[in-house]
Amino acid sequence: MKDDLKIAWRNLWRNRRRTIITSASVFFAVFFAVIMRSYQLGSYDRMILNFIESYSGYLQVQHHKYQDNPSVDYSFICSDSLAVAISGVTNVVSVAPHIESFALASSGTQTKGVAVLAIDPEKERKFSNPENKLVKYRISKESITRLRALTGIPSEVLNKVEKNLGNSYSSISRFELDLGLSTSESKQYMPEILKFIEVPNGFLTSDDKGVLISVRLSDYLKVTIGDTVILMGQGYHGSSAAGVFPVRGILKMPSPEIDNKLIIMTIPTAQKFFDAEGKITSLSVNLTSKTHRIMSGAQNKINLLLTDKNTVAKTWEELNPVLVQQIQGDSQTGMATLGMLYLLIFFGIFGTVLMMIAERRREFGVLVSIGMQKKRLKRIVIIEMALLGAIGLIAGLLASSPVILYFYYFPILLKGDIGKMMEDYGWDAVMPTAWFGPYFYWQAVIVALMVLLATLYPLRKIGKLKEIEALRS
Amino acid sequence: MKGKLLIYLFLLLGYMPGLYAQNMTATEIVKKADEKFNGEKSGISTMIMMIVRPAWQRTIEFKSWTIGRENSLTLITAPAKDQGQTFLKRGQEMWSWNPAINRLIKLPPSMMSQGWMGSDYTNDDILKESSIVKDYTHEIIGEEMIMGKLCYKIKMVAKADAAVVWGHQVRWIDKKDLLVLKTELYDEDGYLVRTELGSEIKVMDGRVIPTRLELLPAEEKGNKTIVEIKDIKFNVSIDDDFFSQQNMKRLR
Amino acid sequence: MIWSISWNNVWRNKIRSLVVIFAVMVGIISGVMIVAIMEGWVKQRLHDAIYNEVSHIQVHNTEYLKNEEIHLTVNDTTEMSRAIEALSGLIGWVKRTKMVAMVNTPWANTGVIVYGIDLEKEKQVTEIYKKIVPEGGEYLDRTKPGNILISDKTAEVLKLKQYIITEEVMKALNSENVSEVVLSKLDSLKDVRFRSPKDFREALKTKLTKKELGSFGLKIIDKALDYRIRNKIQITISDKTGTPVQGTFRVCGIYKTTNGGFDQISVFVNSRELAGLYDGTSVLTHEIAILLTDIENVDSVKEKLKGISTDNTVSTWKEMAPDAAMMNDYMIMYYFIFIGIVMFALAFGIINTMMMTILERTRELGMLMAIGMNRKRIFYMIMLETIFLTIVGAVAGMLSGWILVEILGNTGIHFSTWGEGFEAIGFAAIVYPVITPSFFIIITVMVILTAIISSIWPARKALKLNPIEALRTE
Repeated sequence: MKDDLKIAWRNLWRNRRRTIITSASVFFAVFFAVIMRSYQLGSYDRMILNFIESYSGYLQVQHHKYQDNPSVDYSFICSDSLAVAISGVTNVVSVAPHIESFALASSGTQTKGVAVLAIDPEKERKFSNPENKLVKYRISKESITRLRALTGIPSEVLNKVEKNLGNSYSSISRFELDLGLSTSESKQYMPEILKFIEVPNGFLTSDDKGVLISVRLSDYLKVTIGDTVILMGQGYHGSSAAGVFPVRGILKMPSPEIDNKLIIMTIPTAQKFFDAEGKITSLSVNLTSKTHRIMSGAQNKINLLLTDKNTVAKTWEELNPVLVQQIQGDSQTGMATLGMLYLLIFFGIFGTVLMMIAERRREFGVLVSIGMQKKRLKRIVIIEMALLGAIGLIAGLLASSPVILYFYYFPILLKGDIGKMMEDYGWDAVMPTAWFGPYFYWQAVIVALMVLLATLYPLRKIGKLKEIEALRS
Repeated sequence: MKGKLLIYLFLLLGYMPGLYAQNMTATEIVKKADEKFNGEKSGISTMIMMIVRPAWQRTIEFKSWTIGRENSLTLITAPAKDQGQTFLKRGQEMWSWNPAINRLIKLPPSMMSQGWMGSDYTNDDILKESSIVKDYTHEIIGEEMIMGKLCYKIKMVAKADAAVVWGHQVRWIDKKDLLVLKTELYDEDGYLVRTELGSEIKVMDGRVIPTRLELLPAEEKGNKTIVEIKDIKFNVSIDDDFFSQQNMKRLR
Repeated sequence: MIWSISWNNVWRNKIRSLVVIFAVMVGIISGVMIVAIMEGWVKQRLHDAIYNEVSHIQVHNTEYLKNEEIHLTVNDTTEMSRAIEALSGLIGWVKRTKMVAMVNTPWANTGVIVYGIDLEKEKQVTEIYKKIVPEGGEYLDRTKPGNILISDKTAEVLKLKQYIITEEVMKALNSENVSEVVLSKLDSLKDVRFRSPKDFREALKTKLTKKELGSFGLKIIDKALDYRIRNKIQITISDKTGTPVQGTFRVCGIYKTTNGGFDQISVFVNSRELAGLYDGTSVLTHEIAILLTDIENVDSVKEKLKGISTDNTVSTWKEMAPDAAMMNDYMIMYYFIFIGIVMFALAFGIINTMMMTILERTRELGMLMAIGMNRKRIFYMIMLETIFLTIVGAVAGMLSGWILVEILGNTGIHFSTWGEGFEAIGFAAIVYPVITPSFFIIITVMVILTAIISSIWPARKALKLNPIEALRTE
């Protein structure tokens, strides 16, 4: 065996060029497979994480009937000690309480059904972060007139601004995307433009009795900061809920449907309004990662902490079963494209092996005719292929690592409509690679299998070898 | 809600003893039983409503002024948190006044989907004109004793193009006083959706009426709504402009 | 002369030639398949969004978009109609009444948006009429008044999606090879009506073992499904004075699209019948939906229609369904990255293969050089061979790629996920690969160029051979 190994090794170095080329084919196979998969997982993962972290939470503690009947009647008591205990569970990053329900909003003669979301302003910063969505800039007719009259900014630029008349923005980057100025124009004029379209805004303090209201709703009810909004509805166990609330700030929500009807208030205020003292409808929990192991671990620990047997911790998958199935469907499409890549790289490897065998026909013929057993020759070739494969694999994994690292920290920026949409949601408009994970090794395994498959060809060829013809080639 | 409730509980008998319903058709029986409530021009009543759920219970007290079935004004008198709220019904429209927020609101259909004040009374019960006479065909299917009184058992099947979603109803109407003591409401597939029971027959303001009405949804065991009439006066004179938005705010 | 030499060379060494041809072929097929699969997937989402929900362009009263009130109808409808009819490249358009409403059955109520539609014109614009579920009744018909079309989701909420195991169901299950044991267990549930999927599933769980549920659960649910078509639904809307008015309709059919959110709130009735509820005299138009022959024209059509009234908002599908638009853009980025990777992989694969073939011919090349063929000629010879091979490979690749896409484009690639089997919602993803001619050509050209360019380096390497050494190689 050891002799075989020596022979194989020497064979490889005898014709360095051939060795390099063959192992290079394996190298490239691994390299591309890893990078492609990393991109697929990275982008998809990022989208899921964005959704989970800004909306659903990895886990939620709810009354077990709440999911089917999202009403305040299925709320539960969440003591401070419970919240603290849950925050202390391993892998829990942050915890945020919520109350979600409906009410009727009224101002002047206008009445409209609205969604009420109660939050803890501090804790919510790590979740949906509504502060991010506060309207900071608004392009009104007034601001345009003033811009034209009081600044020296050229008209083409101001015309572009005017195209977005009536829009509100919570982020500069989104505004810039809509505006479409060149980088030099941006640098030169943006600071001034921003000054003129800036609007004052406010957030909620932790015990605030006021509310935040979404832009379109504020337009409909014709209210702005400082005005009051009246909310009416049905509270806990059918009690009547009614209250008057000052508007503290205006938000722009990315989804137009939500933007039409969102009211945000603090939890104590909502508890008073719905006559549900001490109760909340859900407690969202963010974890360090969404791997199955970490999620079920945290879920179990949290369930143990819940003394109220009506409450239960559910994962985001349990809370969004339709989304999960859509993701599964999408991911399979991704697998299909990956499959195509595998086909291609397999041919790369196979082609190289094919040529290698063709080139060495004479050599094999000589070896067999001078007495080497075909079995032994096969063994040697297997070892050669294994070594070539190993070299290519390791080199491929090593080479792909810096690429993954780079695009993880400096991902590709997304422009166009999707860039805008992601900015609206407060997400980074990027397409990143995935961090190292099982997929990394899986690609290596698959390529190793390909090498194995490709090896079958030379073995067969050797088996069918007719020495005389081989010598003559 | 008020209108229908009163209609349900009122009885116009006493000085019409000759009206033993022996030879009437099913339709006539239903019509008469229904008309008695309709015949009432106006009324003022005090009632208590109990909303019963497996995990909790709530009691609301209110006072009601009605004219026919068109207009009614209801004032909540207890509990404290809801006290002072008034509801005005004019035809198909419903308004609500809440003194705590000093606000008059016209209630859109969506607000009513949860049942009035959290009870099992739906939008339909409150606003919809009862049409059991013209929207159904009627048939006497037997006689049964309900609470010691002999009743006609009448099956009412909804007509195909009637504007009701019920499939059919079964009504037990007491033979002597033509009181509706029990009603079962079924969907179009023949499944019981709701049962309504009338009991505690008393004389109020010279009339014999059931003073306790129970509404039992069939699907949710342990859920029910009970209304008790504490006091009621019939044919009181109420001005038409009593039923106004200004009055909603003034009522105590 | 070089040409004939090259040509001969190509056919002399069949294995080598086949390898290169294959590499090019596979490169084209994989490139084509990757793009076709992704295109198919995106196009489907897009198609569904456009043909079930938002069409190419929609026109609304600007104020209506902020709050859906009955009096906020589209402005200047006559001029708008004229302008739309005058459009070239129009497939169809329709006016709709669109109102917020409550619908209820004796069991439940829910908020919806009721669309009053012109039945015939609607068919030209949307495909909802094709989306009626099996055993789910039929689409609205002008000759059958008083009907309403609701979705599978709405039916579920209103408790019109029921389950019942009848004698027929048992027979059907029997013919589908459901075991006798299971059938006898189901006997105790016979003729019991369950008013929701959840109730039915819970009941089945009490009767059958987990294994039985896994194997037969879905079949049972499928056969026992009973939509209560022809039951009445009551609609409550607010008329022009804000007073609630009600109307009763009968369910004529159940539809289902891929967008659950849309399904949940959309119900359809004949616009004239809806008008009967709020007014009787004239049909109100809150929304105009337009379908064009070419999606690329949306922006120019929008400009044309915008000018008709300043109080209207003309929206393109991108504005109405931003997530579908986002998918499109996202995919384009995906393509670039993946095609890039594929091209790289192909290039390296070919370089490798070419290197091998050239190494294999060291002796032959050395011979040629020794007998006097100059290096430039040898270079051309090799390049010509590559070109021949690449073209053959390209043609073969294009043909097989095209055939593959055609076949799969018809049958679709089925990615079915059944979740936890019995508990699943049964989301079956089918992708129909499709590729536009331009993409097809781009990929082919890219592959050919890649092949040729990747041969240059090995070919040049060949030139640097020392003829004496070359002759001595084995």
